[in-house]
Amino acid sequence: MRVLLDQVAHIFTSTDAYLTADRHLLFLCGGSDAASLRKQFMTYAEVALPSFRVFLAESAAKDITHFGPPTFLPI
Amino acid sequence: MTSICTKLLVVNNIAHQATNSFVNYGPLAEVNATSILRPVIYLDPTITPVNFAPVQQRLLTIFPTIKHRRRFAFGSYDELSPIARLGIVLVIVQLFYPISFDDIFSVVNSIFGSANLEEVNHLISLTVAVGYVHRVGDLDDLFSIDSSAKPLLEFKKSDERDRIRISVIDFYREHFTELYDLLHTSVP
Repeated sequence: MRVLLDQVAHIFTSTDAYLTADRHLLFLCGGSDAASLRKQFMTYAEVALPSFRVFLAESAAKDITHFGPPTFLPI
Repeated sequence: MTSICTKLLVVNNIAHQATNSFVNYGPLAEVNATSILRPVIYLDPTITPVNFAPVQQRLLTIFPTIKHRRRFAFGSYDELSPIARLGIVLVIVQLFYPISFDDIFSVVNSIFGSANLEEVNHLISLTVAVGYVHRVGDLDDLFSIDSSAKPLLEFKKSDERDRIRISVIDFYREHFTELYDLLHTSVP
């Protein structure tokens, strides 16, 4: 396992790794009914904002609260 | 609240723009004073389709599309940017799926040191929320990469990662047959 971890560490320490500059995560808050602007905006953003990954804010909270005690951190 | 305020883009119904309300004088005034995405954008929801162009323009102005990638600067966990930390978590899930939270944290900690347990937990939840990672296993306590996941960290040469992935699969076959068996049922 140590050898494996060393290999993984190497890919991060090599000069071969790059951070992509065009990925933005957008938490979308607001109404959740079918007529809400939020749903319309998500559809709009798929085409108009290709470098943004738009998702419902509660989706992230759902996983945190469902699997373990909910804690909130400003990341 | 203050740190969140600095990253908020508020879009509100134009019918509420001139009202003397708590929302306008309280939270929205705070956003207009502190957010990098200020001021509040007002839209008319009665127009079909709703014109979201002002929102698009604001986002692209503050976060312009940058074509050039930035070299990843290796450092300890606490020196890395949030997006780099998220990228690392994704790479580790990609290499080791199916993998438990404890093992993701262990790998992050062994390579980068001083990782924050709660924050790594939040980062994984984020990858699940975005749809890049799925929970798998009987107890939903393992994580697997989605084939549509877009990497935040890219590598010029992919052969080294491919070799590691093959080594991981071999390792599971020899030492963790339950994970190896899961490969055939849970990998998207």
